[in-house]
Order: sequence, then structure tokens, then C-alpha cells
Amino acid sequence: MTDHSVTLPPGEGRGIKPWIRAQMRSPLGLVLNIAMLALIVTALPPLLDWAVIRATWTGSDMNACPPEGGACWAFIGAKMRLILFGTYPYDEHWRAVIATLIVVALVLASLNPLYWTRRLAMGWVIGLAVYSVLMWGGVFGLRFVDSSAWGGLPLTVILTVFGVFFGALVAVPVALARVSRLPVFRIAAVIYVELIRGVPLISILFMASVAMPLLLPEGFSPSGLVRVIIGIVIFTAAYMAEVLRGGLQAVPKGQHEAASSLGLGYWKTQFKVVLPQAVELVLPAFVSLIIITLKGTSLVVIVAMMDLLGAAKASLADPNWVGFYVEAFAFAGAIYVAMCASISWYGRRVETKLRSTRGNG
Amino acid sequence: MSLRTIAAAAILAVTGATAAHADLLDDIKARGELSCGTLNYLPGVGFLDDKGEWSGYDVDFCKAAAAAILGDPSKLKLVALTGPQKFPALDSGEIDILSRSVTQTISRETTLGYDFIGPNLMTGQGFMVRKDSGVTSVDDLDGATICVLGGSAQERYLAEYFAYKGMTFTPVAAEGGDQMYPMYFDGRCDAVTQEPPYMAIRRLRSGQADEHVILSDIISKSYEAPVIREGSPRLREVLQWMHWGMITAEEMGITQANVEEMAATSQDPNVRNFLGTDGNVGQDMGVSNDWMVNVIKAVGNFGEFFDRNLGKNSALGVERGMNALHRDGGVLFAPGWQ
Repeated sequence: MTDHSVTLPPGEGRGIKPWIRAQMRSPLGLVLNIAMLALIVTALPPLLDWAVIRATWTGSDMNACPPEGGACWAFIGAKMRLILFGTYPYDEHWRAVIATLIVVALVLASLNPLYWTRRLAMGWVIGLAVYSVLMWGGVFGLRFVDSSAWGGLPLTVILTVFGVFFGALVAVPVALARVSRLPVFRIAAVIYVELIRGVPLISILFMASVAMPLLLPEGFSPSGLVRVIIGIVIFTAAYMAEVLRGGLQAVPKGQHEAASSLGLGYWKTQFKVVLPQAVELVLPAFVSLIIITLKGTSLVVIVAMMDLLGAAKASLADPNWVGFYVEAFAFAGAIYVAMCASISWYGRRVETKLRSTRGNG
Repeated sequence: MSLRTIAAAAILAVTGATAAHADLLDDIKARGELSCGTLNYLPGVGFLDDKGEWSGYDVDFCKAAAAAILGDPSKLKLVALTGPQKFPALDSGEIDILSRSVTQTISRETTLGYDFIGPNLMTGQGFMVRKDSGVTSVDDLDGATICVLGGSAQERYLAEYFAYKGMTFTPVAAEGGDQMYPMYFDGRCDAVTQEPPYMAIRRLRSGQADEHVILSDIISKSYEAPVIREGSPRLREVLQWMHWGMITAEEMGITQANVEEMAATSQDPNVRNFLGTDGNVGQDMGVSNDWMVNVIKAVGNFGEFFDRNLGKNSALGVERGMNALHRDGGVLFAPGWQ
């Protein structure tokens, strides 16, 4: 993939004019292009009028925004930190910012199999320790913050990261069991995967949050955050195991045989030879699972956790600011789009890098 | 092991666990923190302010309870709960008190095994209609399309009321207020039903406030009360008398601003007894003698508590109505403090 020169068909070239000509080549293309253009032209002015021209940018309560006016961005100004951080103590928000950035950096590094070294494992251990100290506090003069007070974007990030991270840890043995020649393992894996895939995430979260404390003896129930993470992990792991199984089956048999002929045992064969190749193969599917998990975390609203979307909903309940739900959801939506777009952009970059490193396209 | 020995062991385990379980009041004091279930989406009742701090009527009850039991309203862990979560959270011991707009009813008290405090908020279900519709009472709404919150008690009361009156209606269920009110103001329904203060504030924000009228009819009783599990009589006493104490403070003219001065300087034996300057009322029930001073410092007397969250000092501006003292035409009373 080092040769970028492409031979263009005659009559085509770079630049705006050839591009326009190319759009009008077929009658269907022409009609579709004009239709799209018309749609944009009709939708854009009212949107701009609402979001920019008639919008209110400053104000201290809803009286600043007349009911017949445009978007009330003053509401977002007042509620920004509530939406971004939920009930995390106001003066401690910087701790949540740093802690979340550390975890995001670790995740970005871990997405690339080339960085899977002992140093990264150490990085996770240290990073999670620092994360816990910052988020919980209670040591080094930091104020203690109970996990029930965590909210907003840091909560969304940590639910996604832990869901994917522990989900992947659970998924590896499940996927190996799924392709195992031993029927006990294979059947157990099939039952687990099919059972979980047959149930919506919302009901798993509900069971984890509502039923778990009733089943466990009083005082032994983990905190709400841990219960929800357990639910997300159980759910994500089932999907990841299936994705990974696809990768495992795509690794050529010759690789297994080569490993056997070198005298490698089962675990060494899997971890040194088969799994790295399988993970590389399923990376695109893995990235979409991360995005799905990220968006799935917004379902924790039904168990009253204030993730980004939950905090956006909670911001609507202030009697001094009634009825600005469009602004709140547009703001939260923009953040979700930005996050999902960055994840898929980064995923594509890692793929390209991997391909060029392997050198065979 | 025979079935009988297993059953006997199970019964022993259960009764043993119950016997070892002391009054929740002692557990809370030993823990040093009160755990209170509430809600985060109802304006004036339970919500988060700009800084993410808990605020509202049901939240303030929790703060008052923490002040009464532990002497400090900040020794409090608030847990947001959705409707289906609230009773399991109470049953499992995750929370000590449920203060989340729970309507006190006989079936909940007698069959579910709960103790209710208060009730501390009396409200009901009203209707808003277009002025030009000519509707002046609920009985004019026969055949109307009515917007209502789906899955709420209001949806059930609405159906029951119309069935009882022999009238028909078409319900349009909405997921929340932010969905329901735009539907109503866009003319998808002839009427909308909720508690009057919420309808009033939405009408204010609709941009067509003059075209709508809130009917004076109220079709259901909704007397809301904080809840605890049965089996902690001393905790129930503290909370019930705290509720009466806030009413007593309003009767005596004791406020957030003057409570410390009153406790120190008042010569009135009733006030001195009430605020714990004299006597042993608090210690006899398992809290400090100045417990009511802590409560009033934290949330004020009942009038201040109501007006700040729902009443004239809030954006909702709800009239005291039934929630006023008996001497002012309401239904609030408190037994004597001797």
C-alpha cells in the first residue's frame, strides 16, 4: 500500500469541475443529487434561524429565553457542568477530568495490538490505581466521593471502558470454549452466548440493579455502579465472544499445525499464535462493538444512574429552567456523535497502521 | 438430610437473622450516614441544581432526617431511584428511607409491610383545557382526548374516574412531561392531566398562556409520605415526630434564622422543652436533645420547607392550600410536645 498513483479514466481529473461533471453522469445520480440539495436548502435556513439567529446565548434563568424565541443556549451554559459531571461534587470536577483522560489514553493505546507489551499492562495497573485514587479520593487529602455520586461523561466513559475491557477478558475463554473440541465447554459457551444474546440489555441491567440486591443477603450487595458494570460485562462478553470466534475460525489451520510442530502446547498456541491473528482480523467488528457499548450505556438511565444522557435528562427538572429538552438532547447528542466518530476514526487508523506494519496489505 | 431438617434450618436462619436485627435507628447511628432514596427528575420535589447538588422537597426531608438522627444534614447519601426500583431498594436495605413522592395508600401500608411518615404533601390530580373549548368542569370532558403520563397512578385514576361517571375518553400516554406538554399545546389532546402546579409552569412556558385554563376540580387524593420498612418502631417515632416538630416550629414562630437564638434565650417553657434546652425529649427517643434545633437549622419549619421548594419562594409558586397549618385553613396539625 505504498503506491498511491492511480490511473484515472480519460476525461477525469482532480478539482471541482470534474467532480461536478462526475456527479451528473447518470440521470438517477442527477435526480438524487438535486433532491439532496433541495432537502439541505429547505432544512438549513430554519435550523440556522433557530440555532443561531434567534438563539439566546446568556441568561440566568428561563425568563431570559422567551417561549417564542429560538434555541436557549443559556440553558446549556447554566447546566453544562451538571450534564457533563452529574452529581460529582462541583469543586472536585478536575479530578474526574484527569482520571477520565488517563483511562481514555490507556484504552487508545490498548486498541493497537502492536502496543501489547508488559509496559502496557503495567500502565493499566498504575493508571487504574491513579484513577481510583482520583475518583474515590479519601486519601492524600482528597475528599471521599461515593461511586453513587459519579455521573455524566466520566460515568459514560468508565461504563464503556470497563464493559469492553472486562467483557473482552471474559470473551476470550468463552470464544476458546466455543471452538473447543470438548463438548462440555462448547455447550456451556453456546448456552451462555445464546441466553445473553436472546435478552435485551435493558432487562439485564434491570435484573442486575433491582433483582441482585434482593437475592444477595442484606449488606452483601455490591454498589449500584458495580452491579451495572457486571450487567454490561455479561452482555458485552457474549457478543465479543461471537466476534472473536469468527476470528479464531478464520485463522488458517496451518498456523495450528505449525505451532504444534514447534512443540507449543495449547495455551501457548492460542496466546502466541492464534489469538493475536484473530484479534487483528476482528478489529473492525470490535470497534463497532465498542461504539455499541458506548451508546448502550445510556440505558442505565432506567436504573436512575446519571450517565451523560441521564444527567442531560436530570438537567430538565430544574423549576427555574422548564422545557428546554431540545437543547439538552442536542448537546448530549453532539457529544455522543463526537465520541463515536473519534472511536471509528481511531479504529481505521490502527487498521491502516497494522496493515502497513505487516507489509502485505 | 431430610426435607424437614432443611426446612428447620432455613426457619432457624431466618428467625436468627431477624432476632439479630436491631432497630434501624441504631444501625444508622453506628454507620454515621443516612441512606435515602429519592428522585432526580421532578421540579421542586427532587432534582439537581446547576452545580449538581440535590435539591427539592423530598430531598429536604432526607436532609432533615439526617440532621435529626446524626446532627448533620450532610451525613446523607442520596440515591436516585426510578419508579420500579423504589420498593426493591427499600426492601433490600439499600436505602433506609424512601422519600420519593410515594402516595400513602392502605394497601401499601397493610400488605407490603411499610410504615409511612406524615403524610407530608397533600396534592391531587387536575386538568388543563383550552379556554375556547367551553369546558368548565371535568364532567364536560365526556368523549375527550386526554394527554396523561403513561404508567402513572394518574393514568389509572383517570380511567377509574371516567368509568365511574359513565363517560368515555381517549387516552394519549406520554413518557414524560417534556413529551406530554408539547403534544397538548400542539392540539393533539383536548385536555392534559397532572398535578396543577406542574400544569401552571408549563402553561407559563408555552407562549400561549392566555389560551388555557386549569380546572378547579381535583379528581383524586394524592397524599404523599416518606416510607420506611416495618420493624423499626424507634426510627418511625423519630421521623414522625420530626414531621410534627416542623409543624410545631411553624406554630411557635421558630424559623431557620431565629432557632439558635430561641433555644438560648426563650423563657417560654414550651419552646425550651421543644428545642431541648430543658427536659430530655430527644434522649428518651434515641437522638440528641437539641435534635429539633438541627432539623430547623437544616431545612426550616414546615412553612419555610414548603415555600422554598414548592411554594411562594420557588418558581412553581404552589398555594399552601391543604398543606397549611390548621389555624390557617389547612389540615396540618401536631400533637402536644409534653
